[in-house]
Amino acid sequence: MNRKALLVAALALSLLLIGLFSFNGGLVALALPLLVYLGAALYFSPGEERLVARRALSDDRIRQSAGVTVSLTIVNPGEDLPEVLVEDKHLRGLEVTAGATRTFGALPKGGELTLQYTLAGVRGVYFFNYLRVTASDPFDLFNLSTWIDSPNRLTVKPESPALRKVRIRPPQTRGFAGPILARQSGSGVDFFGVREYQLGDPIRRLNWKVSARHPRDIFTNQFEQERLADVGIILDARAQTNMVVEGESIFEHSVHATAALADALLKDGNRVGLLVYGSGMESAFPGYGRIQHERILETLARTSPGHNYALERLDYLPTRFFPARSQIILVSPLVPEDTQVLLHLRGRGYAVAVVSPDLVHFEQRIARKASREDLAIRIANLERALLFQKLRRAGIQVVDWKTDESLPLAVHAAFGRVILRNTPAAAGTGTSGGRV
Amino acid sequence: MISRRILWGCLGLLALANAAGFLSNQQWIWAGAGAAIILLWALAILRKSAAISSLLFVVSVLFCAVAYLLGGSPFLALAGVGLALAAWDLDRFSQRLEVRLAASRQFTPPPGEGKDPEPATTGTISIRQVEMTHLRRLGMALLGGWLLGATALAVRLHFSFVLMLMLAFLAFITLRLALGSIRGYVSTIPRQGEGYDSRDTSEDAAGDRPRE
Repeated sequence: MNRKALLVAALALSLLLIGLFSFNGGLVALALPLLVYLGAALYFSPGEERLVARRALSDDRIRQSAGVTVSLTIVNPGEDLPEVLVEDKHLRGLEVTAGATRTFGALPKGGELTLQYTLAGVRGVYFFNYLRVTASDPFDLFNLSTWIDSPNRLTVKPESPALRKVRIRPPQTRGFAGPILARQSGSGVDFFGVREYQLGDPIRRLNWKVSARHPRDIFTNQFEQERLADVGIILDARAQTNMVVEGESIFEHSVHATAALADALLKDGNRVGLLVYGSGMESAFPGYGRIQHERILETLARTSPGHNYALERLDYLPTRFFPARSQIILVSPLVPEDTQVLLHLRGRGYAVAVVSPDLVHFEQRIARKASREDLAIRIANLERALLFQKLRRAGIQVVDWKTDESLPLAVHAAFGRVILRNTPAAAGTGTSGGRV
Repeated sequence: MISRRILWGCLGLLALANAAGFLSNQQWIWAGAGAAIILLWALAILRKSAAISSLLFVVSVLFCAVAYLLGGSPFLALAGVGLALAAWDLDRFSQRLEVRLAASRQFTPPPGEGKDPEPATTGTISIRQVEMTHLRRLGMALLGGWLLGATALAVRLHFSFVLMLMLAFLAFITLRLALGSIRGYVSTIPRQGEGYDSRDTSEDAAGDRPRE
């Protein structure tokens, strides 16, 4: 019984009582249509609901820019329901781009009611659980509201600008042929060195100029082998390094950069692993190909910055996760305390690279600080430049990325020649790459 | 929507019934006030203000009663009550139908799937069918109520005080049974909180969503 029923009942009762106490039969008669209306509503009021809901998604894994169509079908195997209001809950982070999340209709025995709408949203993993169904009599005076289980799961994968080639030079490569120069002689295209001729060497590899200078010996050209590499990407998800300014988080830029790097490196055939270092440590174990790509995007989709006192510094990086002397790429805005850990990794023989979204520029761009804070910004920029200089001196590649500029161009400047795809994301202007 | 047209028709007839009831006794001020109430109600309906619409429905019914008490025709007052009830019900029903229409209108199927605002799924009841069923049931309820009221007005019975007291007692018992029945119905509604998943990420998880 809802408020409307109470209103009708109160009105009818008032007329009835006034009529009875004033001995006025006419007033009692005026209450009769209201009482009959109330009685009819009670007669048609819904009994027990036995509804079944089916939820179908057009795709359970979508990109951030794409939409997904949700189709809800409610079937009534029980008794007739004259009027039914179906409301699906709106999930935080998802936006309805077409249609509506509620509908109204009748559900006779064996009947169906269909609700369709399109959603789009930000990166994340979303769980659809319940929808609310409110059945009522034809006059909406007596309601019966229940929650129906209709589970489903949607993953919104992060967007990433397309990088075609990331040139890395890890000290150790894997045994399979690939695009990474292996620092070993063998079959390849890049000149590696010259050695004395050995029986079986092809004649076209003879270095005639060197051989001419040594009348008793013949020399052969050597080429550098090209192989696959092990690459470990570390995404810094510590709350203290990830800033949120006016609702925009620099962490989202880090996630997009990580997705772009993983995409490019996996396309080259490398074995790529991901470690998210934040409130805990989440990882996608190293692997190859499309499945690994999906695994990394899934991990990135559900990650968020968090705080953990034990993981405030990078000291507890699980280096065993990465094969010895492999390539490590850290995606982090960086704080000065991280320097020692990176130098330590470099000392242990890893090839280390850092992709660092510029925190100072990010805050300055969004918050548009007053001119009196210019000095503070200059000092912060100077500290950052010094930090990067220290890293570069230790042989660590650094990509100083201003988040409003193109990531492919920044990566190109730091890692070498990058062929850009003709995509809007790659069409940004300017470069902020550092020198190696 | 046909229900919308009937709603405006009911409001117009209600205005006429009220005016006729008051003007038959030269109650010009009351007639003007009644017309103003109907006008305000029409505005509330146009602005989709449910609370004001409900309030003006109560006021309209009371105006019908006043028209009768001031010497107007009881049958006209009875018709006025029925018309006010019909207008109020149809206003709320139109708002419920709007939910369905909005859901159908805004959804554009993905490319490749033809535009079908009302999916032709087996067993799906169309808006038109829902509307006609509602109008039929409302018509029956109002007609039944008016006939019962008219019969009550036409038949004059004289009771002694003792019989009146017994009838009042009977009415009280009936009312109590009816309330008991309604309360029993309410208790069958499942408690909000059954089967709630704590992993829920919905926006109003802290609001009207059930909690364990």
